[in-house]
Amino acid sequence: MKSATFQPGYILNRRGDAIWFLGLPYMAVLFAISCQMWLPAVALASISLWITIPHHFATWMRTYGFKEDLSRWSQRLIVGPMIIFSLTILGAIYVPLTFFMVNVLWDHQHSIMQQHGFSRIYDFKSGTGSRRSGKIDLGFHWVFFGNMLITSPLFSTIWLAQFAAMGLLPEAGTVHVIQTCSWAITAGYGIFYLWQLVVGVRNGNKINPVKYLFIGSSYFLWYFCAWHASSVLVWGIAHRIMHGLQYIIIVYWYLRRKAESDKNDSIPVEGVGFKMVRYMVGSKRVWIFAAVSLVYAALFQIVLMEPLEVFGFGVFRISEVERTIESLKAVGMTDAMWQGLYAEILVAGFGMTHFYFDSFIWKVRDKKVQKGL
Amino acid sequence: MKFLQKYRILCIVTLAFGGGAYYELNYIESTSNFVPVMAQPNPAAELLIELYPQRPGSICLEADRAVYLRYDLETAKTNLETAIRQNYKDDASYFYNYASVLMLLGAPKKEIEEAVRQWRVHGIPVQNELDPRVIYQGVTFPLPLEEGATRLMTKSLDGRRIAIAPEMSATASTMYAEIQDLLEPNPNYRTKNIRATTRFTALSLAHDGSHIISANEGGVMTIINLDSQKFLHRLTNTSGDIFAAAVIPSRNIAITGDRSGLVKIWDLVDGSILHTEPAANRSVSAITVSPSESLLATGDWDGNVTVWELNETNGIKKIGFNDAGHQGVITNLVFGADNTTLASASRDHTARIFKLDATLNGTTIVKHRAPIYGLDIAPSGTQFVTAGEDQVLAVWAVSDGRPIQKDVKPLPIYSALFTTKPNELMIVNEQQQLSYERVASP
Repeated sequence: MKSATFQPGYILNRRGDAIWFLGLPYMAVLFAISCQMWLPAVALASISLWITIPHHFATWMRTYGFKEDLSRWSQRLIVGPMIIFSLTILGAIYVPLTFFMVNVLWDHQHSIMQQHGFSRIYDFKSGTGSRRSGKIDLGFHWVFFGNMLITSPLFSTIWLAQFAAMGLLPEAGTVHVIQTCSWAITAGYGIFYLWQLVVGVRNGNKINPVKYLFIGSSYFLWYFCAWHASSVLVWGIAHRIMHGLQYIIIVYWYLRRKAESDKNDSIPVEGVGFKMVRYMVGSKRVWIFAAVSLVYAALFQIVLMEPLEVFGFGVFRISEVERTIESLKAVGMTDAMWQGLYAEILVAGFGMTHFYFDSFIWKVRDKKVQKGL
Repeated sequence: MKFLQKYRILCIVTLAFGGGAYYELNYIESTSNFVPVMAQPNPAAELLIELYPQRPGSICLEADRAVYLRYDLETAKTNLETAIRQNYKDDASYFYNYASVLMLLGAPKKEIEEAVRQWRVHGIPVQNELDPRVIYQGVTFPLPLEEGATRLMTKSLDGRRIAIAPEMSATASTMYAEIQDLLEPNPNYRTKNIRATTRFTALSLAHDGSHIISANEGGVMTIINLDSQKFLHRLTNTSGDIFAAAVIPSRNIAITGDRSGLVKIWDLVDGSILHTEPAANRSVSAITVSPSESLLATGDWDGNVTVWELNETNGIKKIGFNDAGHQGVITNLVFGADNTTLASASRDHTARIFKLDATLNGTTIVKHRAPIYGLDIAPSGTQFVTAGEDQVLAVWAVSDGRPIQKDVKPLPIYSALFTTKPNELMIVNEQQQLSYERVASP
C-alpha cells in the first residue's frame, strides 16, 4: 500500500501485526464477553495469572536478562524496587486509600504509555511522523483515555466511590458538568488531531496507516468495554489480554532480535543465567519462553499462598464449591485478612516495579533500544 | 539535578504517596467495619444509583442500602436476583450477600446451598469462617450488637431511676437488665436486676419511674411495679418479637410495638389487650410517650415516623405522619419536655427534630458517619444529644442543629441520656458502667 501519503511499517511483520496488534483487541473483547457469559468471576483472576504475571516476568527478562542492560541500569534496577516495595508495604498497611489511588493511577498511566510506545515504534519503523508527532500522540492518549476514565459508567463508579471514601463526594450536577467538560475537551482535541494530520499530509509528511489502525483497535477495546459491557470483569479481562500479550510479544521479539544481532565476538563474557536467557529467546524456542513464563506465574501464585486452581478459570473447583458445613468445621479458620494484605503487597509491589522499569527501558529514541526493535 | 532527572518517576510517585498519605491520615476518619452483609454500603451509593440507575452494580448497591438501612431483606433479595440474572460478576461479594440474605430470610435449604455454591464458584479465595450457613445460623434482624454494647437505656423523667440492658454473650444462660435507683442512699439497695433467659429487645421506665416494662426475644414481656416491688405481668405477644415498649401507670396501660408492625395497648390490671393498631407495614422499632402522656410516637423499619393521640378509652388515633424524613430504620424517638417537638434517630446516619403538627415538618437535621442509636432532648428543650456507631457523642442545638460539643469515644455509643441536672449527660462506658459527662454551655 505504498503511496505518496501512506507509508506502512510494522512492529513484527504484516501477519504478526495483524494478529497481535490489530486483531488481538477484538479477539480479547470476544473472549472477555464469553467469560462473563459462561465463566465464573474467577476468570479475571485466572487471566491475571495466565497473562499479567507472565508479562511482569517479561520485564524481569528484559531488564535483568541481558548483561549489557543490567549493567547500564543497575543502580535504578536496585534502588527502584527497594523504594517501591517500601512504599507498597507502608501504603497497604497505613494508608490503603492512597495506596489504591497511586497504584491504579500509575497503572492507567502505564497503559497509556504502552500504547503510545507502540505508536512511536510504528512511526520509527515506517519513518513517518514529524518532530511534534510524539507529543501530539501522547496528548491524544491522555485526553482520550482520560475521557474514558472520567465519563464512562464503569470508571466513574470507581473514582466516585474513591472520592466518597476520601470525604470528597461531589453532587450529581457537578459530576455532569465534569463529564460534559471532558467530552468537550476530547472532541476539541480530536478535531485538532485530525487537522494537524491533514496539514502534515499537505506539507508532504507521510503517515503510517497501521499505526492508526492499531490506535483505533486499542480504543475500540477500551471504549467498548467501558460503555457497552460496562463491566469490570469484561474490561479487566480484555484489557489484560491486550496489554499483557502485546507486551510479552514485544519483549520476546526485542530480546530475540537483540540476541540475534549481537555478533559472537561482541557478546560480553556472561554467566550461566544470561546465557540461558539468550538461549531461551532464540529462534524457534518461543515455547520455552512461554513455558518458563507460566512456571514463573505458578511459582508466584504459590508464594502468594493462593490456590493454583485459579489457573482453571473457576472450572476445576469442584472440591471447593461443594464443601459442606461439616467439612468447613474440619478445615478450621484462616487468617484471610493478613493473607490478603500479604498477597496485595506482593502483587502491587511487583506491578509497580514493572511500571517503573517500563518508564525508562523503552525509549524509542535510544539507539541501543532501537537495536532490538 | 541529574539525580532528579534520573529518578523523576520515583520522585513523583513518592510525592504522590506522601501527599495522599498526609491527606488520608489527617482528614479521613477511618471506620472499623463490621458485620458482613451489614457493612456500610459504598459511600457513593446514593450518587451512583442516581447517575446510573440501570447498571447491575447500582441495583446491587440498592440491595446493600435496603439491608443496611432498612433491614429489608425481601427488596435485597429481589435486587440481587435481578443483578445475578443480568450476569453481574464484577463483585463476587454479592454472591455472598445473596446467600446471606437467603439464610436470614430462612429460605429453603436447597436454595441456600445453591447460593453458597455460587459464592464459592465466583469468589477466590473464599473465607470459610464467613460461610453464611455458619454465621447466620439462627440469626434474625435486627442483628445483635457486639457483647457489652448498651443500646437499651431508659430513664424516668423525674431522674430517680434509670435502667440498662447491656448486650450479653449469645451463649449466656441468663441475661440481665439493671435498674438503678439513683436517689437510694444505701448503695446496697441501689441496684436491682431483671433476669431473663433470652436477649432483651426493649426496655422502658414510666415517666414517674414507678413501673418498668421489658421485652425479650420470643415476644415475652415483663411489667414490674418498682415502687411496690410487685411483679405485675409476664405476657407473650403472639405477633412476634417486641422491639419497642412503654408503660403509662396513670392510664393503667402498657404499649408495645412488634415485628409484625402492630402497636398493642395492654391493660396493666389484667394483662389483656385493649387495642391493636396496625402501625407499620414492617416492624415497629421505636415508641415514645410525650411528657404529658397524651401523645405517642412510633417509628418503623421503613423510616416512617407517626404521632398518635391517646384517647380516653386508651385507643389511639393517628394525628401526624412523616415518611420522608428518614431513609432507614428509626432507632430512637424522644419527645421534648414542652410536648411540641419530637426527635428521631435513624440508621440512615441522621437525627431530626420535628414540629408536632399533622405533616411533622422536620426543622432540624444533624448527621453522623454511621447509624445513630442514642438520642435525648435536654430538659431545657434547647439541646439534644446523639450517639452512634461512629463512636461520636454529640450535643446539638435544637433550634438549628448547630454542634455544641462532639466527643469521639473508644467504642461505638448506642445510648446517651440527659440527667435532670443542667448540662449533664450519662452514657454507659466500655466497662458497662454509668458515666457522666459535662456539656458545654451553648
